[in-house]
Amino acid sequence: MFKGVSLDQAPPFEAPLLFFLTAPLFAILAGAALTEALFFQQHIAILHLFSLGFMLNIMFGALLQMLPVVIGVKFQNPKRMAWWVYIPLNTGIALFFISLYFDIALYHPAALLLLLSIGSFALLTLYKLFNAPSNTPTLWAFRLSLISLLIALAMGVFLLTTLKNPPEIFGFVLPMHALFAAFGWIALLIIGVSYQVIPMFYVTTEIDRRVQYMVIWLISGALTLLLLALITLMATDENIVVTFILSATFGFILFLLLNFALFVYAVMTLLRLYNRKRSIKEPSLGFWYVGLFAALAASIYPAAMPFNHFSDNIYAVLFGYGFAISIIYGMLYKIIPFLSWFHISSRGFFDMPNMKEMVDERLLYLHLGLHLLSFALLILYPKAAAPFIIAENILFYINIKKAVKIYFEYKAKKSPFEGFSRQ
Amino acid sequence: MIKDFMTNDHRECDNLYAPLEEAISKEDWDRALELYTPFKDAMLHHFAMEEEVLFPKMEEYVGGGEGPIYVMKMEHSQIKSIINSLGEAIEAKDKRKALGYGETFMIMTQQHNMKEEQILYTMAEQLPFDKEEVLKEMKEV
Ligand SMILES: [Fe+2]
Ligand SMILES: [Fe+2]
Repeated sequence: MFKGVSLDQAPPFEAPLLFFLTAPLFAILAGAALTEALFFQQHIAILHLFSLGFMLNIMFGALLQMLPVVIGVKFQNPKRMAWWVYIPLNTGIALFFISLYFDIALYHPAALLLLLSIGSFALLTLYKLFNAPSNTPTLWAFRLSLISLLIALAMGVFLLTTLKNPPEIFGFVLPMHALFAAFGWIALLIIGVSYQVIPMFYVTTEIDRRVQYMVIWLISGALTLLLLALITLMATDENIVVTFILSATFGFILFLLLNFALFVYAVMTLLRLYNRKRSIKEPSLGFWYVGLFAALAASIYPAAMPFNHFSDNIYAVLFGYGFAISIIYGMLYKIIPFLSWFHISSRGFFDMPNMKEMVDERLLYLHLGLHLLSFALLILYPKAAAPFIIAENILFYINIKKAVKIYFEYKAKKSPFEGFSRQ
Repeated sequence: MIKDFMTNDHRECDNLYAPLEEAISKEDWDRALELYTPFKDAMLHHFAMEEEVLFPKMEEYVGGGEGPIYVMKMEHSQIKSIINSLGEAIEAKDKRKALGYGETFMIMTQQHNMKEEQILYTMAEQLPFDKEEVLKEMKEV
């Protein structure tokens, strides 16, 4: 029953690091592309630099790292597997961006590469997640997140390959693709992580398990209804105008429901953080606060705005840049120094710097400030955000440089207890 | 049963650490020294319950070697060494170092606890030994 269970930090640091170090490159590229962007299609291209280029790369790295820790399964050959996913994924993202941004017909190779890399990684991970030894809200959030990712992927491939000759249904699939990606994939993933991590890292009480599950099932339920609506739509041949009005109303109600779940999650988590037992203030906590308040703002925004004043762009910034990306930075600033320290420590060294000595806290706060600035500007005047997006991601590299350097320095040294080491 | 008991004990250790960290960040060194001892004792007691009772019992069924239990013990010794460094930093009244070791202790311990709670304790619950008996023995450590 426990065959193959390993509690080792299986993947060498290089495997997740490869993804972690690639992600900010796409954010920098997005910043640069933002200054010249004119058309809708170019905005979509930039949006995907953040969602695929930044978030998906981080997720892949984090899952490679986390699965052995949280559910005790390990990948056979993590380094090789990392490269096998990494190359098609990132080539796919690059082709996707080029084809949309510059309007060059590379849609099919881009779609194929993304389908293969994301599809195979998500399926493999799902298989492992369904075989996990215990069941928790986090585990369910992860499973449903990856299922949503697969659905969003399928819809995305459809959209990309029919872009130049869109069938009638294109306009229905587009918002659904966005909702599956945003709420299904990204929100469920972050919610799952935070259920696990917030009580442990900040010493807080847990959110009531029933509420934890309610949030997860509310999101998955609303998305399932949307999917069923889409399928019904495809099967029936009604007047397109009537169906459009019906599905817009229905869709908006479900959209409010999704936001209600996000609202509950954000409020509950903010309350936990505010009442945390670990009173210390540190930059990661700041990123969590920004992320959760942005989630709160996003969740209220659709209900607060008169219908015709709702802006997709503002919502996307609140949700993507404010909620998801803030929390990702906060997590990375903990994960990277820790893994560096951990891998060195596991080889028997005692004299390496501790986690806090690997980063300069003042520069982390500077990053938090730059992030808030680019976040605010993206809402008010997007083009002006570009230099700050670029600056904050360059600063990110500067901030983690020491931790990465120390890891490789110690890697070159001989372990003090060679032979005992569990490499 | 074992899982609930041990998970609870993890949380109790966290609750002993939180005020210690607060004292360090306020540079209230007398209070920090005062809080350090019960915190350290609770951690060592928890490790002892695992290493002296629970793990040997589990090893009867799943074997020793380089498996998960071995990894858990390795991590205990890593955690013990951070706790000692933390103690030295408190004695030296070095706030920066103490908070740095504190943070390292916290993340290291939490990921360790996560593995035990998600996997190892679940595994223990499913092995065919007398849980009541083992629980009783652990409480006697
Ligand atoms: Fe342990
Ligand atoms: Fe334990």
